[in-house]
Amino acid sequence: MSVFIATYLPNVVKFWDIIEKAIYETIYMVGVSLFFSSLIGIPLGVLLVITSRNHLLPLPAVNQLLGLVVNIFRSIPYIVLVILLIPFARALIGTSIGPEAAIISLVVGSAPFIARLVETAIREVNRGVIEAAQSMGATNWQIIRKILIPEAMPAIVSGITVTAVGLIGYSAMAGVVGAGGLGAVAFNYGFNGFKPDIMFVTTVFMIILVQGVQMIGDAIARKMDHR
Amino acid sequence: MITLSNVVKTFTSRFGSFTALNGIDLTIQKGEIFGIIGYSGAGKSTLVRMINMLETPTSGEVTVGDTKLNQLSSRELRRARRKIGMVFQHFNLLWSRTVAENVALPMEIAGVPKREHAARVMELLDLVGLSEKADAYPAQLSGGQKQRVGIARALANQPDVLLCDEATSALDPKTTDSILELLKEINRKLGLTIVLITHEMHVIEKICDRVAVMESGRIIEMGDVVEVFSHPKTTTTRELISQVAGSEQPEQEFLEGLNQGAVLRCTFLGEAANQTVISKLVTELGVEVNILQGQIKRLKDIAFGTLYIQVPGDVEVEAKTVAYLKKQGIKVDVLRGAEGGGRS
Repeated sequence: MSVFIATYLPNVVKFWDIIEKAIYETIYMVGVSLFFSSLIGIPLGVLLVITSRNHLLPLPAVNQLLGLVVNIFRSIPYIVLVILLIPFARALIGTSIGPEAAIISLVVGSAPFIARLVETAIREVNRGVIEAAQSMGATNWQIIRKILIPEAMPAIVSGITVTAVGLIGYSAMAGVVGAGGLGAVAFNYGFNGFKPDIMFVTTVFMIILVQGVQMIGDAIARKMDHR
Repeated sequence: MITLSNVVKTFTSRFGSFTALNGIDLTIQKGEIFGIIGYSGAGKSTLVRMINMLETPTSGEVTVGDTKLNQLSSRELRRARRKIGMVFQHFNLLWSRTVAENVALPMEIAGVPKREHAARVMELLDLVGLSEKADAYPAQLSGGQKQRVGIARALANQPDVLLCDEATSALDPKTTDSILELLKEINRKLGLTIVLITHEMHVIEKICDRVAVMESGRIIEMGDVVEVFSHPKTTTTRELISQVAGSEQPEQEFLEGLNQGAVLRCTFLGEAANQTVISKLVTELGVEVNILQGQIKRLKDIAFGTLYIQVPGDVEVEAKTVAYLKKQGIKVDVLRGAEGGGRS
């Protein structure tokens, strides 16, 4: 095994420290941005549903405005978003490079995506169940907390899983702003540094990450689904 | 207990407006089981949803207990709703919660302290006969069991009124009967007022004390179930009754084809249905009786039957027979007089 690695993946051994650090950076970037984009995206998704016509809190103007904002951010290509947000990142955290700067653009890019997935998930909740809660005297807030979100949870988890997989890909692009991570190593060392074995190995790690995230997400969604 | 006065509900959409309820006046007594029957589109669903303000009236008043529901603030309305349980056709349980958690939901919403939930949930599940399913999820239950959970949930906050919106319409006949039995038992045990809507006359005859028949947003007939069953006034009511009874009147042509003699419709109610009236008629009066058609059925707690008989003989025989039957507490309608010809 070690002979095999030394022969075919010489640079992997030599640059292992960098690769290892990159794995952690990717996990860190994806994890933190997933957390914040869910924090923004889930309430946004709930709002998109309840402010629509014939729902809990019909506010057509708010609904259209939210929809527009979400669509704008979803239509900007991520690579453009990264650059557009450089001044914003600098203002917010004092720097426009490094994982934290990348996290800002990752959150801005994926929160609207989560919002749409959450919206779809919550729209699927049976109207009858909402009505039953209303007949018990539930407030809108109780309906959101006790009915809409728990009933939509498996679909929300699936949506977050899809987003996490997407974030792994985007985090590689974020290498452009010096965010580090597996994508940056693959590009800087593997591609620009003519070390195909590094490119190969970092890609394998990305595949493993994606596979792992998908498996965990599916398992959680399945465990929550009692239908 | 529940009063609706001059309630009108008009739905307006881009395509025009539709009046679902057109001047409903209705009083439901405390502790009774009141049935509302009608074909789909008659407005019965809108009517029952008005009693907990899931639909708000366009005009008119809805009173439950001492509270005018249509004048409440949304906060007061939420409070009032806790005392009005509702059971749905499609159960509307949360599949993300276990049976016990579903039953506890109204208590959570009403802010009942958590420590009181478990005991109350067990008590309710015991009442509906599902104690051993407390930790199951709704998806693991049959339709009838799901509706039992729905009923337990509706009773969680000790309501004064239970509204049933086609509660048995998604169930098979056998399960329907067991759910109806349960509702009857609850009504007796807890003294709770039940309002149910249905399109099945079977449901009405099985458990209701009084019934209102609806058509095109109006109540076209209302009264004690026995009264409405024995003397339906409208075609719709007669049609609905014929769902459960083969009790339609024999065809006119059939009557005309019979030999001479009076043709009588005898309506038996309560005690009369349990007596051997016809055989006594034969032995004591010495008249002959030809039974044409008939049946006896049980309404909520009373037997009710109609029997079509032919009594060969002259006018005197007819008068004697009618008088005898009436003395026995039977209602008699002469469909054809003894001398032949049409109805008298």
